[in-house]
Amino acid sequence: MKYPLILCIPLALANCSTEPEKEPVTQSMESASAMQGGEEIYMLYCAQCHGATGDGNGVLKHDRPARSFIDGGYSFGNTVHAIAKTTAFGIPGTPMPPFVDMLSAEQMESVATYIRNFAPTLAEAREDEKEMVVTDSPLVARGMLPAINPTLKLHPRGIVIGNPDRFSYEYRVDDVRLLSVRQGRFVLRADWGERGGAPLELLGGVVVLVDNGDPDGLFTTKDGEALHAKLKSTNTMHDYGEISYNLVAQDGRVVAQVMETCRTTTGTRTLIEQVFDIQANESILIHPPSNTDVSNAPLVPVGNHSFIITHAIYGGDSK
Amino acid sequence: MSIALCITTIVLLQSPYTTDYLTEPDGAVLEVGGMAFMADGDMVVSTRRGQVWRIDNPNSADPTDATFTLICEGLHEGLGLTIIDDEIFVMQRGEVSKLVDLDGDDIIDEVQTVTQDWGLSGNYHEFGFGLPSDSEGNMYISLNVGFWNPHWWHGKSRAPYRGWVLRVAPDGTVTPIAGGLRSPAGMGFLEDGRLLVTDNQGDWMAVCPVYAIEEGAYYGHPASSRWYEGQVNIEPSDTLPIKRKREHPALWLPYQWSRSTGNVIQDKTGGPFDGQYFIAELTNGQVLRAEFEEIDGVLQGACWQAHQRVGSAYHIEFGPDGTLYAGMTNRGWGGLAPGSGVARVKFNGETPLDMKTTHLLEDGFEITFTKALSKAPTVSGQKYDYNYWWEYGSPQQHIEDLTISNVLLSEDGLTATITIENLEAGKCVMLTLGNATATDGSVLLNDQVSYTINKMPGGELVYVAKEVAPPIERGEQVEGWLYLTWLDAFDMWSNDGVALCNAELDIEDPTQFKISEGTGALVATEGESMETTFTANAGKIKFVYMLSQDSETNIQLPNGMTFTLADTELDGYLGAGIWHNALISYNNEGIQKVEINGVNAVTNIPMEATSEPMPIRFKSIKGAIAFGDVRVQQIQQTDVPTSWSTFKLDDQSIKQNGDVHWSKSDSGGLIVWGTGSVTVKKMSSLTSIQFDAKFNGEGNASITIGDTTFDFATQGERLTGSTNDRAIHANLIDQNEWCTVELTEGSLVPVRLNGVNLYKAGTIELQGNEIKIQVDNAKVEIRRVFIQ
Repeated sequence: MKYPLILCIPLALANCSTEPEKEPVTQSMESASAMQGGEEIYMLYCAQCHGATGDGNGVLKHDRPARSFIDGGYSFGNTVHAIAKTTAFGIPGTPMPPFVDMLSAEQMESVATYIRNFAPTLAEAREDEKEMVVTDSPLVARGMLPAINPTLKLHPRGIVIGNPDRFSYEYRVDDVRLLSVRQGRFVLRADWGERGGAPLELLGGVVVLVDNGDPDGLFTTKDGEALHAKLKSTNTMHDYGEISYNLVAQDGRVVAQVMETCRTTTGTRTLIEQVFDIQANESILIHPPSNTDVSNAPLVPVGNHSFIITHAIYGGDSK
Repeated sequence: MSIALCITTIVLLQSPYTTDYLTEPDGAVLEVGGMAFMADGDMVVSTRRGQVWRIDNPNSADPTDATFTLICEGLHEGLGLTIIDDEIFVMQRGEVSKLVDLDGDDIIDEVQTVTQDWGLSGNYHEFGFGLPSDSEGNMYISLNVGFWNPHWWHGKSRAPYRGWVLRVAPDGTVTPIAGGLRSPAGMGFLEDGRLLVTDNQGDWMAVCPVYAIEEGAYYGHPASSRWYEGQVNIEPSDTLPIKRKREHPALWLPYQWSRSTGNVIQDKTGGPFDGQYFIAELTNGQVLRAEFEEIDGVLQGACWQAHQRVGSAYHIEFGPDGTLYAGMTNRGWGGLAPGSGVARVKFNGETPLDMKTTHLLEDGFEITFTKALSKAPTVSGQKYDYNYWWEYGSPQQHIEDLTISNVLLSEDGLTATITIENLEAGKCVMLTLGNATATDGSVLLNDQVSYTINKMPGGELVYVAKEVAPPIERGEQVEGWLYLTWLDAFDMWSNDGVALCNAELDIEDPTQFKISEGTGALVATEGESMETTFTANAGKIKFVYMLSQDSETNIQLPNGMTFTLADTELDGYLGAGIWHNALISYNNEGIQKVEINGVNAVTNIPMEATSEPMPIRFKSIKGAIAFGDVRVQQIQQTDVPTSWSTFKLDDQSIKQNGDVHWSKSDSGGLIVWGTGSVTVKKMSSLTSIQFDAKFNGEGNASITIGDTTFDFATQGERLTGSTNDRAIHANLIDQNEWCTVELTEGSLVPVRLNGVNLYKAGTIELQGNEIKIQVDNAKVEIRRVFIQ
């Protein structure tokens, strides 16, 4: 009779490089995961330092006192996710050890939930509170824009203008340009959750994706130098939200000032009109995105001018 | 009589400060990030939810009478707000904006961009804080570093000026002022106009500091150093400090008082602390008071607790009426309740007994009081410093009691002069006053003062947070196993009959093994045994084993206890002829746990009698056992005892010889590779040395100190653990594994490897002026070198 395990032994006895060993997870621990709720895990692993009531007065005292969860002492975040992460990795330089090898993800989640309940007020926004709703006048939401699709980039500086007709317009604003037009609900402020810093959730369905969501700048000098569209303001006084910016050349001179409004047309077919009011100090060239119609010639001479880029829409699902 | 006295005391103990809270409108949550006042006394607050509220009548007698109007929403966080000439400016995550009401209805119609000129990578943690403004209309912003997984505890500056404080001129021009910050969540101004910035405890920030910012200075968090002019723009090490000179904070706030510090404001109310400063503190939910002084041009000072249990105070302001308002937030940051809204700390005008000022003298402190004391107070205290390292904060280090030789109260009872014999620069001091009672019977409101001594009068400037050896990065710990049967299976054992061979259960006679030539197992039959040539302390033993039918083997543990492996029913045991993994944890109180194939077979067997450290012994009592891959791991202290000192590696002194290369590692150690040698100057004589080492390569390496050479290799004649007198032939440490080596000078002294006294060397001699690291087609990394 052969025992395959024996074949491994010469390797173990001889010099060999092995993968770093992991302490085996005991069966008793695994079965504990099914049985133990957050409270039991807390009492087993946490209470000796953090106290049975979460007040930080456990029987074990350290030079870095354990957090009082009742007082809200959560240096690495007070969300369940953040507490579970702290539980997993510990806090370097403090007596708080990592539990990643001792507790399952499920157990850490449940003990984090239990710990979270010690906390005082929970100023965590509810999902329904996070939704911005456009009613009878335009709204502007500033925030991080998520990548429209996995091939595109996130934009840390973004603006979404929502108009009462339920169309909304997504702009990156580090160099102002329209990325998409959406129809339906407006914006969910995902950055009201946890510590903040999450991208907005854009709730409308995409009906126009300008140059596949990654358009070049619209404007150059007449010599072809790209112009930086530097955000100046947004305005919600009128029926449609407005965005204004300066077109700035590389040497810093302001070549033109632009006020842009997007609106829908009605007729046999709904179209999006991107309307530009331009005050040009020098003549500039416009390079419209693909699949659009332009009202005027692409050269804008010195002076005040308007022109319109018209986008056809396609049926997008609204959320 | 006693009743009357009691009532009097209660009255005098009462704080003249009361805290109440404005009522947030139904459904609204004001996670306050910024606060300022309009000329008409209305308060304007910006919130982390990107809203701006105007609060009418904030100082109403009944807090429910204040009315809230939402004047702007949809902003990208609002962690700062200022009002200049009744115009509102807000700090958003990516923009400083002016909020404009075009039609006079108080509702904001236009958000005008003042500037966006700083970097944002998109990381969630890149908070942008603000927005104090000076008399010239400049505004100031401070930018948090980002935290990335998996090493989320190392703050990173991956977009320009993260970790800096910047000035925004009225025309929107942005000027970076100073870097080296981590989470600079609050700002303020000194009376002379210098900018104050607070930071939050974490990596490179021992506790929460308060800095008086100088243009171009560096405040110690290396991540943002890449943005200094003339600096090569690369991401600096996570674990090593950079060479740029780091500036001292004016204050280190005691950890027990502040863990997430907010802004600083000067008291101009004309109250008892007029001219001093108040500091918002979020986690502990309180407001601190501070006073600064210059000692020979170096700013430092004192701080006290002022108002406790206010709530998660992130931003504080004095209102036009002298009320102290605290804007609160704690979502995701943690802090004392309430975690949102606006608190009001009102003063009833009756001056409490409190320490008013604390000034450093050449030999102590002068403390003044708000009221005359009836007699000199008792004073006790401690001094301590901190570590400057990448770890998350620092415990207090080198804690010592202060030797207080005299406490003298002035004739008017208003000033106590405290003489202290052992004050020194580079320390924080915490003084506690006792028996301090005013002549009117009132007792001291806050009995402790913390003072940061960067400099003693006439003395040197010394860092309170001292650079120390970097702690070990996660995943880079010394695992501490010694492989006792790898390569030469008997080298670390004395053997009494055990054979190295291949073994399988004899089907004809399952009480026996069938033996064949090979190195598959160590086989012991009845009466045969082997034991280690060394003894060990508390720890773990790991091995594989297979029993013959009805057999029994005793394992003697280093604590003197014996555990019997028998072919009988036991959790995890599968039967004769099957290989099992065993892990035994033991200490000086007994066997904590025996795991067989990862299952807890036995737990908590107490010891009957204490024992001297013993060797590990396998002895077959009945039948046969095949075993192998025996490992031992000692419980090691991660902290080196204070009697050891860190060996500072002097880069300049490194000399190399041959085709050899060296570099400093992220953990502050030295990596040497190639073929040749590197020498490092060793200034002090030493009697012991301890270091971590990691070896890798086909060849070998050695470290020579004085006449003693310690070898590293995983093949050949002198394997890791060998010294002049003893060649090791067992492969105790694998390649790429950290191990801890300890050598002590003397005759017949133990050579320690991973905490085990491996053998006694004839002579260890550690004198000489240098440490020589030799490599021959190999690489060796040394770190955490301690000597005594």
